[in-house]
Amino acid sequence: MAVDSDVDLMLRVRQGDVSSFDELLRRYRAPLIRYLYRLVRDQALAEDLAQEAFLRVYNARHRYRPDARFTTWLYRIATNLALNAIRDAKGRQRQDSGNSGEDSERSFEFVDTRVSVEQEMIETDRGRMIREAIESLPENQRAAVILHKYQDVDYRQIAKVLKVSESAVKSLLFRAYETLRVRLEPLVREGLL
Amino acid sequence: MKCRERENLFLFIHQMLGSDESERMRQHLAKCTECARAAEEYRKLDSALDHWVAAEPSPWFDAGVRARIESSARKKSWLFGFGRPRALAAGVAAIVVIVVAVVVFDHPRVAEINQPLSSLEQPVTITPGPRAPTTTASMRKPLPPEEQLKMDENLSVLEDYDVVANFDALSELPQAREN
Repeated sequence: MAVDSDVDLMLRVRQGDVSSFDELLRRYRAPLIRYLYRLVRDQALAEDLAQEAFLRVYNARHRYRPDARFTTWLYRIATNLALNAIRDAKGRQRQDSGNSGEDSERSFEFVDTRVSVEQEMIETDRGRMIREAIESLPENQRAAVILHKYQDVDYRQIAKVLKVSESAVKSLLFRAYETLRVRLEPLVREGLL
Repeated sequence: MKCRERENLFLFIHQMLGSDESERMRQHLAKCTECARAAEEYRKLDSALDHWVAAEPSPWFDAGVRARIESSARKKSWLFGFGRPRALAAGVAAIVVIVVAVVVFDHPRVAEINQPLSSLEQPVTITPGPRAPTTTASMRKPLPPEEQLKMDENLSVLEDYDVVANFDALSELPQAREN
């Protein structure tokens, strides 16, 4: 039995076929939540944003045009939602630190710098070091690395998701991997990885 | 190693170089130990990144999406029914204004009262001799002097045209005479 392409499914969703939307949900809920989790590092928030992304896809079904890959569209919506959430959280943190008189510039980088107890338990030292190294990257580099490394999205598609040129994506990825290589060098050199 | 060379090496490892450049890089790596070592570092780094495990969807994720879709659909149907308060208020206000305007301006007295000032301010043609007051319509369109004279002569209120024509109201007043 032939597997329907994402575009076919989305075109059927546009015509009112709810089961096709369920199929898209089944295909992409896990990758999308993993992507968002790595961007915002909060499972509840990642699920919330993923649900919002699927809702927006559903609500925009009548405007869907099959001129781009479905995943490009989905990741673009999700990326915008995540970056907005990160910026909102930074704004709140800035306000909080302003009120308390603390200068916590470093903590602006992340939505939530605390790690849940469960996360602590399942995370290895290596995992923690890698997570912290990726989290230290600027937003667009972090999104590019996560899409490239963990979502298996090629650089041409990343360019469309992030709305930048392909050469800009290559440059973003190179600078991001260089930073990671330097930060994770002790682990690589000591053969822990 | 120069930065540009390192970038090309990175792009080669991640298959982002064109075929010609990839071939050149492959040949270069075969004889350059420094670049070969750097390439190995990138490969190790890439496999190292696999250790970051992400969260999986919770069992109630799909239910949450469906609930949002239902909620959004309810909100939309409400909005497209009676529930768009601003649009509804604007629509009602517009209807009220139109109805009031039609009622007010359609009434003849009101129409007369509300006629534009510009129409009343048209210059009045002064004709020789006294003239009985005429209608507003005749004020708007002054008649030629001959016609105006004929019309005035035929008016029933003017019993004696000659008396009226030579009537000087101020001459009847004693103060006016003294002055």
